[in-house]
Parts: sequence; structure tokens; C-alpha cells
Amino acid sequence: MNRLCRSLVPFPLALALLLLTAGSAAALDDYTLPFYEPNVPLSYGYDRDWRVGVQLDWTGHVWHDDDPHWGRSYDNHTGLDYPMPIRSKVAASARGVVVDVEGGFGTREYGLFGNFVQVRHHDGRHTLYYHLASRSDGGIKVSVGEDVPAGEPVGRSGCSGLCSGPHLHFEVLVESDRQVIPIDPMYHRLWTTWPGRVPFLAAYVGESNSGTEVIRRGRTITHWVEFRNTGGRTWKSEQGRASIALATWDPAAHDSRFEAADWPRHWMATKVNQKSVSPGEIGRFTFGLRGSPPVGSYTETFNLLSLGVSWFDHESLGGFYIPIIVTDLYE
Amino acid sequence: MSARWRAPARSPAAGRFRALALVTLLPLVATLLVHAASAADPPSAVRYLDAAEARREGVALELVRHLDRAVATLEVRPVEPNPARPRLLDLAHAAGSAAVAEGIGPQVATLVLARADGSQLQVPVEGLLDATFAPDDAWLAVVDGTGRLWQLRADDGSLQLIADGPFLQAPLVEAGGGVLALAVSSVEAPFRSHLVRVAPGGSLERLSVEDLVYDAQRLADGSLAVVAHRPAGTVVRRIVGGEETAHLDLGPDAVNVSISADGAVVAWETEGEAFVQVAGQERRGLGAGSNPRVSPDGRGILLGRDGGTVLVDPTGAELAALSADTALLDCGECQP
Repeated sequence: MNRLCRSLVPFPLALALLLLTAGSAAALDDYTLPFYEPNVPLSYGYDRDWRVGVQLDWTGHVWHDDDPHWGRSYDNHTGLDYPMPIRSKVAASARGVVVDVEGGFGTREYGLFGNFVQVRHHDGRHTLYYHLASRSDGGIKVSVGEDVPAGEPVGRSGCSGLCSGPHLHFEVLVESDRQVIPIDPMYHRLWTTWPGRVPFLAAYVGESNSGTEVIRRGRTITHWVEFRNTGGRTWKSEQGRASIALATWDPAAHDSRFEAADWPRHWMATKVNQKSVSPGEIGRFTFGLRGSPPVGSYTETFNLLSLGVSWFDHESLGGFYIPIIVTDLYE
Repeated sequence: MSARWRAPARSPAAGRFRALALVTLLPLVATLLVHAASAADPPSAVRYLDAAEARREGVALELVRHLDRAVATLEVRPVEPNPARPRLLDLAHAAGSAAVAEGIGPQVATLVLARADGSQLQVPVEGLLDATFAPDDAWLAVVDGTGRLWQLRADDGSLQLIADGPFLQAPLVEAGGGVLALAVSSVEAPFRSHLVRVAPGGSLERLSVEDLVYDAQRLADGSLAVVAHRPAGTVVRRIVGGEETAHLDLGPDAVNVSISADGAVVAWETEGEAFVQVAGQERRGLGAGSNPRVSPDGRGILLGRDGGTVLVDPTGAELAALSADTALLDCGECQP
């Protein structure tokens, strides 16, 4: 039995943009990540709230300095930042026509402006690839007016402009009232892996108890849940970046009241059991639930997380949660 | 951003251009609270250091004029044991003070108003992208790390928000208090940049039709030279009495453009190679060099080269080797 999810409340602007682009929904899945390396993390996301001093991560939750949230944003950030070594290949996210390029700044020239490529796509969207290497350093591989297929290299990354560390700044913009305005690619799920699959998706398969877990106060039970890897990347369980974990959700990474002794973190129940789960395969997550809270009825929501990279799309998991009753009674 | 020469905002008939002052930014000294733009509370903890205090704390700076060369220059020098490499943002129109930063960027920073007597005013800011003196040197237009435009009083370092922006650059403060700035699509990846006049109350008036303006300079005749990127290449445009016309087409990848006061000498950089075009002549390469700055009279060009600064003439002949951050002086009656 799938658990129903609670969806994020869209911001009014994002909702308006979503309505604007609803007619081109079929094009959403055609956008790919603008690079080829499969394990590039997302360091900074799009500033959804547009309020100075408030930082939301890409899940929409308020981010604080000590929170384990990845894909955090900062004020007025209009795109996604992907750290990558200088001269990494940068690819067109979808088929389109190059409308502007700048290649005159040095590959590592720090200043107010940098090298970039801007592409207009056939659905009216634009993508922007910024902080590129200089033209002679391979930063610009295309010419204005050139038609580029999806996934074709448009240049190489650098650190030109206001760049404190080598990365690609990637933006998606929509045409509106004779100008182009940025939108949040993560919110609109505009990006996929190359060649054409969302990197982190999972579908609920089953669990040890799909009903309510009854836990005697002070005792620990074992629960497992299985998800099928419906994304484009293999799940791993080893230490380090990109291993897949089951963690608390809503709010993301909150300290659980049901943390058991086997939990790696207060908010992380476990990592995937198997060493590796390829796309299409099923991964199992086994963890303890301890009846620590007072007697009563509770709900604990979980989501999957690629450590250091990004959270999964919780809706694709069916909004997984576990109803829990803590009791003093013997069964 | 290296020092730029700015023509006086007053009538060109005045003729005289006073020495610019340098302002040096000191290393990050504190983490500042983030404030909502509407609240417009500036960071606090402005510090004044006299010359002796600045030396004791190892942050002293000196402003050294060179009037014995073909082109007058002013160097910003850290005084031992100050290890900082100051980045010149702007010089005051009157001799005696300068705005300097350790660097520019969205990080919290300290803007220092360094004075010729060795004293300093250290002003914490929430990131720093640019600072420009007003014509009377009583205040500066400051663009912080998120692109907000502030008025900074030069006497006490107090800050007042002018407009949220985001802006990327405050190229010119006008006599009436308006600020010519670049309103951008974003601070980090500005692929749109419009030249606007920001009135003291914060309203905006767009001045140029160009969509990606890199810089603007006031020329001696009162016109505005606007450097803009177009898909086909970089252009220099001139705005005279509200009319915008073509001035020069530099072609693709021409960046960091600088222009003499009469508009006749234009220098630029492409991937670390510097070039110059003098009116009526063929364009010429100046060799390796970054961030060219043309002297007001067009006789000299400062270039970043090999970690330092060199002064060359429009033929590329080297006139002098200088420290990392040097500004050009236009002081027709400068005294040694």
C-alpha cells in the first residue's frame, strides 16, 4: 500500500510560471543535465523565495548553516551551480539555437562578468551556461545562430566572472512579456540525466508491515521497505558521496523521535542494504524503530537521499510514511 | 576591479581633474547578520583608525603619487607589515582619500576609506561589488554582494539603502545625487545588464537600449561612453543629450574596455592580450596584458602584466613598471 504524500505548496510565481508553461509539458522530459560526468553534485540551487536573508534548499525547506541540506540556495541565485573541474565538457540541455556567446574573459578571470553561452530552445525556453573557459581554451564551441542538438557540447567549464571555485552555473529561462525570466529547473523537474532519465527516482514496492506499526514503549522493532530504482543512476551503499539513504522528511532531515540504536544519524534511518542497485532493480532499506515517545499515535515520513547530491522526488515514492502507535500494553 | 579613471561630473569647461583617492578593503573582519531589503538595516561596527593605530594593527596603507612620468599615476601601497594586496575601487575626486577592497564578491567584506594622512575608516559590508565616490567626495555609491545599492557617508561610514537592484556596478555618481548603475539579471551570471540612472529616491530610468552593458564612462564633453556586448561582438556607444549613437565596433571577445576622456583612444583585452585603437589609426596589439586603463589624455595605458602593473604608451612601449594596484591621475596642475 502506498502512502499518500503531502505535496509542497507552490509559490505564487512558480505556479504562474507553471501555468504559463503547461502547454509545453511534453517537452519537460526532454531536458538533460548540461554535462556528462554522472556524479556531479549540486552545490547551490535556485533562490525560490526571493527574500533577502531567507535560504531555502531545493526541497523548499528553510536551510540553516548546520542543516544537512544539499542543493541549498543563496539570495538572488537564479540558477543551479554544479562544481566541476576547469575545462569539463558542457552540453546543450535540449535542442536549440545559440543566441549569444561571450568568450573573451580568461578561463579563471575573476570579475563582474564572465564567459557564457545562451541557447534558445524550440519550446521558447532558454538555457544559460555561465563561468565558461575562454574561447581559445575551449570554453566556446558554438557560434551564434548555430543549431545544436540535445547533448551536444557547447563549450567547457571554467571559473570566469564572479566565481569563487570552478563550477557551471546553469539557468533555465522562459520568455515572458518580451523578456526572459529564470525559473527553477528542479521544481519544474526539467532536468534528466543524459540520455534521458531522471537521476534519482524510486517507486514503492512493499514493506515488512504496510499497516500501522505498534511499538511497545522502550522497545525497538525492525522495519524494512523496498523501492525500485526508477531513476537513471545506480544506488550505492558505500561511504562517501552519492550513497543512498533513507532519511526523515517533512521537514527534511529532522531528528526522529523513533531513532533506534542502529541509525547512522538522528535523521537517517539507514543506507540501502545492497552494495549496488542498478536502475530497474529493487533496493531494500532495513532499520529499527524505537518506541521512545510517550504513548500515542504518530506518523513518521521518510524520503530517499543521495548523500551529498540531492533528495529524491518524494512524490515518486508515493509520499512514503509509517503510522506508528506507541503503547504500554503487551500484545 | 582595478582602478578606473572617471571624468569629473561637473562641466567639462572646468578642465581640472583632481586626484583620485584610493580605498582599500581590509580582510574580512566579522560575520554580519543578513537583513531584509525592506528593513534596509546596514551592517554596523564602523571603525576609525588614525595613522598610528593603522600601523600598529598592521593594516596601514599609503598613497604614492608619481608625477615624474609621462603619465601621472597613484599607487596604493600596503605599509609593512600589512600583508594585504589592496584592490583599488575608486579614488576621491579631491586629493586625500581612496576606496579600496581586499577583493570583490558576495562574501562579507570590509570597505576601507584610506586617507592620505594614513588614517582609515573601516566599513563592514555584506559583500562588495563596487564603490564609487560622488563628485563632492562626501559619499560613495556602494554595491553590496547581493547587488543592493547603498549610499555610504565618507565622514562616518554610515550606510543608507538606495535601491534593492540587483546591480552589478555603480560606474558614476552624478552631481544631483543620481547614480548610473548596471541593473542586472543576476549578480552571479549577468547575461542581461541595463545601464540605468538610479534617482536618490530609488526610481530607475533606463539610459541605453543595449541589453548587456559592461561599463559606462563619462567623457570630457559630458557624453556617456557605453561599452556593451552584442552577440556579434563588443561595441562602444555614445550617449549625447539622450541620443545614442555608434562609436566603435571592437568585434567578438573584446572585454575590459577603457576609453580616454576625449573618446579618441580605446583599449581593451581579449583573453589576456591587450589592444588599442587610436582614432584614425589601425588597431594595434600591446602584448600580454589585462584590464587596460587609458589615461585621461590618452598618452598612457595601465596594464596588468605578470602579477604587477605596467604603464605603456599607445605603441606598446613600456614606460614604467608599477605595483599591483595603480590608478591614473588626471591632474593638470598636480604638484609633486
